[in-house]
Amino acid sequence: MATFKSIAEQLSALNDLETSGLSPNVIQPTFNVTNVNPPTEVYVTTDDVVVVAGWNSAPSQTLIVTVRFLIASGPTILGQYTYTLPSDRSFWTHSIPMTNGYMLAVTVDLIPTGGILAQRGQCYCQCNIQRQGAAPQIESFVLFSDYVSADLSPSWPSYTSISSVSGIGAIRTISGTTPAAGAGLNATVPTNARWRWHHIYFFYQASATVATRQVWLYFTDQAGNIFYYYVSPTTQAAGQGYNYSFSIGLGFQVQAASSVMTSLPIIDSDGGWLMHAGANAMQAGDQISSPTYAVEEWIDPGT
Amino acid sequence: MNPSTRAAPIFYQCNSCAGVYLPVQDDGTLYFHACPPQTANPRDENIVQDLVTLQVTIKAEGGGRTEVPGPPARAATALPPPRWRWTGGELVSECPTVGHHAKR
Repeated sequence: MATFKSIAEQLSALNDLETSGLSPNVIQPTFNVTNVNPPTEVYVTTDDVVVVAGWNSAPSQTLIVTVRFLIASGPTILGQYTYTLPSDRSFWTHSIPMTNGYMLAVTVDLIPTGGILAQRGQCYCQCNIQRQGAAPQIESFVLFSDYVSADLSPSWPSYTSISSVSGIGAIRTISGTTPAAGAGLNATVPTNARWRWHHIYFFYQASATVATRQVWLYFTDQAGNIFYYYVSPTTQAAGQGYNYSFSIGLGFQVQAASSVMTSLPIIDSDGGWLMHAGANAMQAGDQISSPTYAVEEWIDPGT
Repeated sequence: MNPSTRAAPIFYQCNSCAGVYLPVQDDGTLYFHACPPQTANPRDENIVQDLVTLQVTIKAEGGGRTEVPGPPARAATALPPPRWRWTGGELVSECPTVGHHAKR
């Protein structure tokens, strides 16, 4: 059975051999100090820029881009660049000028300035190297494309390049527009966003006008084409107030007292797509209130 | 943010559809109001962006908007009163008509 010695014991034994002059073939390692090969394949020049671009919905966020760089004369330098991000999901882009040398690493971090931590699904970031002067700038080298959030700082060379509509999204609730009396409920998915509707809630108060209300809800695409239409089998009489909840996971509609819980299929809606709710025989004095939606959200550019 | 130091939310009422909304949500994210279908002169606050200048504008101004205190008050009868209360030993009816419901 072999016995194992510690590294200290083995070093001590080797030292004893050397000092005794009986050393057999102890090979001392050596390190090159000149003509060392560069650690990366990405050589850039003054004609190149690092472009950081993306879309963001998280409020009060600052993006910090850190670039580690081995310049041609030898030393390693580190540059940090700070950008305040818009939170309206508009496209933003920033360019960082380069010099002659090798890219060692690029990292982006998201720092909250208002106490709200960004979730995955809120700030999508692309980072690449572009050659200046070309229009359109198609000569680029992608470093990474991923969400940056409170718990993830994408970087290169340990890069990830994924679509913005992949993986889990940001979970959030939205207080929708309370419509005028007698008007239906309306919710439009924001530009450059994709929503997966998890829950929809509102309260429907029927006025004293006698009529048999029947709540409906439908979804359309950006062109207004209806692709899902639901009509509640529950009817509401004059003066009644009902809570309506539409949720993924419910198998069928249930009603308890003045609350109606209804199943909702998985519906993904892009920017400009619509959810609309109202009622058959809706009266001028009927009021929909407290509209609240729980959605899973992704950045979805171009919608 | 400490709720006691949070500023009062600012609501707006759309002058086109009369809907009332919160442009900045409780979590700080922006809300973009859009009028329902068939609204005359509809307002749509969702953004459009110039591909060259990257300037952002809203899709349609509509009739504008007006700051208001909040949405109309919700009906007080939102939830039904409980019919039974568990006292630890027995179920006690709270129905206004005593004896109206049979105990289970």
